[in-house]
Amino acid sequence: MADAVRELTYSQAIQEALGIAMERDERVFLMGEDIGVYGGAFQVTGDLVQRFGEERVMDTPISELGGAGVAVGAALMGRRPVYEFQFSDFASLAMEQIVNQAAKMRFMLGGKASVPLVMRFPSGSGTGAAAQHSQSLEAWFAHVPGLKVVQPSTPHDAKGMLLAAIEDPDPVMFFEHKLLYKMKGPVPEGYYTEPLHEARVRREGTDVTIAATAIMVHRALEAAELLAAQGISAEVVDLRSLRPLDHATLINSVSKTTRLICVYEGTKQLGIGAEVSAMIAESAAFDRLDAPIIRLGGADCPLPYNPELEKAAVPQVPDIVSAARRSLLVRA
Amino acid sequence: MAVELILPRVDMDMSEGKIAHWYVKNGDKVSKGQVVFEIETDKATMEIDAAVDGIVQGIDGVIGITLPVGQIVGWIVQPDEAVPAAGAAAGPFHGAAENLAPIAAPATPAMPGAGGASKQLLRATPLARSLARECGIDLATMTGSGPEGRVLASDLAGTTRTGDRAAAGALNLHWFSRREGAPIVLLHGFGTSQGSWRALADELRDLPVLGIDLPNHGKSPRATMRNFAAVAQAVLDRLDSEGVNEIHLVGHSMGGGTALALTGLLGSRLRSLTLVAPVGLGPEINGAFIDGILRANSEASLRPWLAQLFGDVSRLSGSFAATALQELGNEDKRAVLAAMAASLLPDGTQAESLRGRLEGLVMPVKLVWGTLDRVLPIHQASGLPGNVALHALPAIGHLPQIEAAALVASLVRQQLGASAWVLSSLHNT
Amino acid sequence: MNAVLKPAAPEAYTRLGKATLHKALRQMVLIRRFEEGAEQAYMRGLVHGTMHLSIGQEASAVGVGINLGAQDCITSTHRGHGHCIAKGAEPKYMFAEFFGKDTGYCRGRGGSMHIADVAGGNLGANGIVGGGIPIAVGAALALKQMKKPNVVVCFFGDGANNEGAFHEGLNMAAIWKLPVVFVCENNKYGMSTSTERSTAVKKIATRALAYDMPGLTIDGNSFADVAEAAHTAIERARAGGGPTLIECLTYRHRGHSKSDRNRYRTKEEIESWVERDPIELFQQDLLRHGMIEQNEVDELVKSVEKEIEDSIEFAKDSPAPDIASLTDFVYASPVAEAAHG
Repeated sequence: MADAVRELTYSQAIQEALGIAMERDERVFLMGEDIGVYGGAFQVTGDLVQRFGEERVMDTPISELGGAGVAVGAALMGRRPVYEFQFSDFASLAMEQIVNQAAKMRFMLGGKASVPLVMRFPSGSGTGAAAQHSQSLEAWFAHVPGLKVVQPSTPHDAKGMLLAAIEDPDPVMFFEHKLLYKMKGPVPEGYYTEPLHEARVRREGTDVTIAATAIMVHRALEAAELLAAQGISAEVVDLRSLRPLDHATLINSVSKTTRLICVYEGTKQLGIGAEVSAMIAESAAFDRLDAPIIRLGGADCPLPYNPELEKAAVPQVPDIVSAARRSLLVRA
Repeated sequence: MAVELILPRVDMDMSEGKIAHWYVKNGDKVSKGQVVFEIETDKATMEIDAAVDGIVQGIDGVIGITLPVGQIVGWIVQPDEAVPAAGAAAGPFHGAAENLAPIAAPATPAMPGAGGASKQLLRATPLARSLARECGIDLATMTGSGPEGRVLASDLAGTTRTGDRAAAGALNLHWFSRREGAPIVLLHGFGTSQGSWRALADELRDLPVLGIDLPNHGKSPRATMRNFAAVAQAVLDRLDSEGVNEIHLVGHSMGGGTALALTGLLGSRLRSLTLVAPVGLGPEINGAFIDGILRANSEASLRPWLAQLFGDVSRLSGSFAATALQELGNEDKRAVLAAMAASLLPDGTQAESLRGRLEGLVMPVKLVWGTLDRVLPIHQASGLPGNVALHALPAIGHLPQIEAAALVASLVRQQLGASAWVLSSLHNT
Repeated sequence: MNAVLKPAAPEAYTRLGKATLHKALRQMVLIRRFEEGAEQAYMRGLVHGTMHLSIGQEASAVGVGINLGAQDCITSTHRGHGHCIAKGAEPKYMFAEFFGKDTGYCRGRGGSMHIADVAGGNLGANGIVGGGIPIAVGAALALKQMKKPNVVVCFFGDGANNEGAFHEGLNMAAIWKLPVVFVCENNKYGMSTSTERSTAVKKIATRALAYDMPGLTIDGNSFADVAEAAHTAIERARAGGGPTLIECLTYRHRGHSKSDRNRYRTKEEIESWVERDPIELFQQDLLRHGMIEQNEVDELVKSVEKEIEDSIEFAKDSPAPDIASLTDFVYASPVAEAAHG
């Protein structure tokens, strides 16, 4: 497996994964807008074009629909494209090729084809990029059979899950929260993978389960510290994968703690928390619930420009703390 | 060769149709592409043309009758050819075709009927319901302490059940922090739960610390406890099932009495004993306090009694009162608590003297007591064996572990150090 | 003696030779009889869903397809039965697919609009107008990356040429000089909207100018014209010369789908094109140039009829998929059900 561990940022970890994948497999190539000499809008691809050349790190025209389709066609023929959307919001331009083609090709062809592509989406709010550049749309894709959807929350997971995604024979939608790009964390050198279908318990606890994704994992951990000082022991589960969703980890956790809070940035209605809540209610964990399930999700409006409004539009640490207290019926 | 005229399927959801108009009659010559008849479907009409040149025969000219898709409605024959007999079929689409049954049109779903009569609403969490099912409790007889009277699992912890159950189910155990080494075991006082140790546990979070809910308290099950020996046995069983061997025991009030009763059962597994204002060292206890808290149905009527616990009343916080009220639970739970108090502290008296348990203990023993304790008076600490160290905390009430958490934590740390010395000296003899 | 001078044979006939020309005619007849067979089945309620027939467009499909090898690829449209057969698809597996059987090309999962055989170079008919265009470009990119001498032919209709995917796809094929040939079968109507009303340019091929590639408009009902133009474009792509846009002017005899009432076109228009039936034209031309004899034509037609009959029997006798296999084939690497619901 891997050797020494050092601190990398989330975006460095992704760059490292892309480089390792391209070294190991000549079929892997990158496509995206401004990923070559510019280094990528978020400087994720960096100097990969110097290392691997323009034919493997391809700058595309501003053609998300066409570009996504090119990735589908190349993947059908056995190549391994990794397509970078500049912002996850631009996925809407490519939905035809992602949802009608990539997701369904294998099934429609009776299992006689495979679309082994990866699409990377910088997503999420907090940078003042406003409504059309700040969305968290992963729930859209998690709704589509045939796609896999993942959201690593740490540099370690970003690298390992990206390497696994590139090797996976199915189309993988890889969501990266923009506010995590500069976050540092331990990342082993060399090649390793993380499974694409498993959640992780980031903090053990006994009073309430907080199931979270992406940056909300970190807010949940902060909240758990504050809650501990108040005598509430919170268990934080990092979902990591939205499709497939790790039912077992969630069911075990909620069965133990008897309470559940879902924290996610996508719009609350019909977001990933809605699926987690319903799944728990349909599972053996239902009989272990001692409080109503609470969902903390994005507010019911487009992401605003004003920084205070922008913060208020998504769950923050105090929201998680107060939800946990509500769940335990501790009065303010 | 004769070619059939059929009622064709034209729309995706079409299973039947009508001929609306015939443009030909039997004997007419038609050419390929010439309109022969018009059909009517749910959607609209459509002209149907002849597939080949020939002569129309075998049509009945009837219009307006609903026919199934695929129904033969006539023939186009060649000159001198007869109309095929009924049932005769040519071409690849006839004959036994189990594998080729016409696809049924999708059914339109019927509107759902009106709902049934509504029932009396019982509010209970799923966990409370499943526990009630397991224990044969009728939830309808319970009032819940949750919002709108919702029954919670904790409401069932103090439930009255028919039949006597000698042994309690396993007590609830909570690890505040898991570390290497013999854990510090915290036993709480009457009417509360292991959660009340949090301030102290936080001070000791670099050490292994666990708390246990006594029978009838917190998340532990209900059980009849006739004396401290029974309570101690239940605690010991739980420690054994957790795989805990040696411990540093800290008991407060009723938990202190339990700790004293445990000394005999633990033997050398007990590495140190810290008693915080323990029950069992004298006859007096503030019985009115116990009655008062068991009677109080609201924060307002509970507060004055809770105030009795503190040396400095200003330290009584809203969340403390709220939590205390919640932990006392509902009527049924309080009845259970009252019963336990009646067994262990009959008529407002500490009937059982546990002073003798302090004789001959070789591990470090400390007594921690607030001088302003109005529940258990500090003077009960006098006259104890010389190996028992007494720490009298000025201006502190019945809750040193809350009012002076840091100090109590440092005393517990001293116990760990002293115990290590005692152990090594024992091994050297 | 015959006083009329026999016109010189088209370039394509000389290049292809008799055997291939017979194969081409047989393929066109096969497509026609296949479509008519499918139509009959549909009208009797034996085929679920709907069907988009390409009767009248056979020369376009076969004229292009006859130039392709087994390692070349195509993408096709919802009106793709002809393209599929021209790329070597067998009617029996196509009928089985229409009847929803497990022996169909897509194991009953895809239906008429999604016939494909990826291993055989048919990257699929497509239910989305313009859906196959970027995919064809991507396949061509892959061929270039793998340094293979093969090409992709991208079939689409006049409707698709107004989709964003058409413009994005042609642009990328041009800037990266990819081995793809874009074949637009202009049959004058999207569904019911004519090209006059929908497309800003009179000839779709002029859009090639916008993407700096050769563009030409040809008689899509003339096998020779199609075969010649396709040959030039395919060889240009194979040699690394980049993409071409070919516009084949043709016509579909039937409506858009089986529920089309043909209200948007006149009987006269339909009849005038039916008279220019590409199969008739090709057959007559081959006879005229002595490339085929009438008895060979009759043999060929008989063998096609037999093939269609046998194919339908095969499809009828095939088993339907097992209901329990409903969620098979969604993922190439599925995760165990137990943990994931």
